[in-house]
Amino acid sequence: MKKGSSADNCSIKNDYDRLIGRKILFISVLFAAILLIIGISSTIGVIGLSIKEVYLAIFNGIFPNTFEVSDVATRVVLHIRLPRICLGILAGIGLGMSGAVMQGILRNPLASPYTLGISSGAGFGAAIAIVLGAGIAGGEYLVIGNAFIGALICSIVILLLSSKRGTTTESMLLAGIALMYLFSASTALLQYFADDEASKEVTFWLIGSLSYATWDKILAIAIVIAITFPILLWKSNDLNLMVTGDDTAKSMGIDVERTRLILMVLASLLTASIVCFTGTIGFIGLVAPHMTRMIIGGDHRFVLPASALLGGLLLCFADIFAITILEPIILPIGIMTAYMGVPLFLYLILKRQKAYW
Amino acid sequence: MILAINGLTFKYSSKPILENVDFELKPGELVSVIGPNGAGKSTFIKCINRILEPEGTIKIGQKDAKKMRRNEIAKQISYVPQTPENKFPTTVLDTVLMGRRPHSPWRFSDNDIDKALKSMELLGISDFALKDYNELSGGQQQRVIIARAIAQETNIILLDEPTSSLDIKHQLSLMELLQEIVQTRNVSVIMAIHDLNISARYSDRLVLMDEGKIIAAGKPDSVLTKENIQDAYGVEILVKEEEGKTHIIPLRSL
Repeated sequence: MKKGSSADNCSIKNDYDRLIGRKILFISVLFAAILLIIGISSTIGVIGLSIKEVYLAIFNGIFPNTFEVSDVATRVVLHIRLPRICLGILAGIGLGMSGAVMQGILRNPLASPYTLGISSGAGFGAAIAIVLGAGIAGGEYLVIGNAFIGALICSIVILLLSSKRGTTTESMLLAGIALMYLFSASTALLQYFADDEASKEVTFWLIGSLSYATWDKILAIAIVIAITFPILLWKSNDLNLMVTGDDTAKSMGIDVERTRLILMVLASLLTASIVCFTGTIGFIGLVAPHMTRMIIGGDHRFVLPASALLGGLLLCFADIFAITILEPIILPIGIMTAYMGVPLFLYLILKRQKAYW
Repeated sequence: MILAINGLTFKYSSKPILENVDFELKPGELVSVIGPNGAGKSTFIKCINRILEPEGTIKIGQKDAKKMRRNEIAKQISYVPQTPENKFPTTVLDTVLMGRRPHSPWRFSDNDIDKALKSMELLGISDFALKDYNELSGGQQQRVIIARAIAQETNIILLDEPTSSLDIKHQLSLMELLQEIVQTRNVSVIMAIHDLNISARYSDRLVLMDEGKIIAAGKPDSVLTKENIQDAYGVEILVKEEEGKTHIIPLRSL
């Protein structure tokens, strides 16, 4: 068998290093693009601002009184536009990351927070709060609290199923799809008996929105990302092995059940903490990991950060279109992610048919 | 002994798949586990490194496997699955590097990459190093997974029906390679295999299983007897000696 090998190990190693370098470059480019798009996106709106004014206002927000910026620019950027943009980016980051983790755990490119029913669970929780006024928290946290609990209940059911001996990843995904239908039907039932106003509010929540962005919400999501991301990244190489099957992963020294539980809990927590603030933003959790794998391959040590940043970037782009396309009407972000994502996604799948379908 | 197994029992629900199996393995030995479908071959292989959790005692070297951490076992025993899968695009080199995970949990050093490249060279798959694993043929994929097991640098390699998806040429070259690894690296191999003639030709020892029990074990000529094969498989055979090796010719199903 040795006779077949002619390539020089040294040159393979150099090529491999270059491949790794390209992956790191891709992540760096995404990061830079996000910083750039924050500025560009902040100029869009009724009050015209230049990119320079926007960045100066942002720097002034971080280091007060460093630059001279008009009060209007500071107020518009820091209190109106930036919260919306940051909520969009962080939501995209979280959804992109949790989608990549869920696809890895379930070894299935169809897995996402949406197809696992987690978003629908959140939607049902929110619908109970909106239609019945019942929930675990009061005041402005009524809907958010319920949505969070709804998402977690769905995750716990899937987790309980996954901890049962002999459960396959396929049956976990099927259970998630079944739960998605159950929660969607329950939400529709609530809407059917609700008054027009409440029903409209539920519909609005279900298609997702960045309109109620505040720095408090952003901080809450940022804290969850800051806690979950390092742990997910630490487990990313184990995820690479779990993708090749439980038996192989176990034979490489991984406690598969425990690792799957940790990853699933973190990905669910991440999703729940985002959708409870933004409503159901579909597609990012599905499309960002796919696009990332098509570009840089399937190594989760790189896929997780890249899919997170790509998710943030995609959501930010979708938001720009949502704001500008029918100006002054702002379209819900959930609609835009689907309208923009689907054609792009189909194009990539058709272009790289043999990649992994 | 590098592996000593006593009273190994494994049940799915309450149905016993393995019953009271005893087994020992010496360094540098190639052992084939044969038997009809459902005999418990694959289950036995998976119990050895605790992919499945059986009852009974397993000693790896002098240590009790049940008291060892998974990573510790992974440094002693590698495993080649029957149907290697990967749904996501992964290069061949990255796949082989997975074998270094028990030694380097997150970041692979130059040393890890060198070891992966050397085992790829041994298996003749260096030319595909940066190709997507999913684009390779079944035979090439099998070689990649064996390269991964070699890169894992263990004393024992378990293989679950490694020849099942290969043509005759690749079956023979794989067996020659395993024999070479056993002889030159003092690694021991245990494999579940269906082909009785190939197992007899290349193995130091055969273990014949039926209904979760070992019904015969020893040198190929002592295991591949008319009576044993009739008991286990329910078929009539003719046993012949060719080039000093035992061969069987299947005649009819009984």
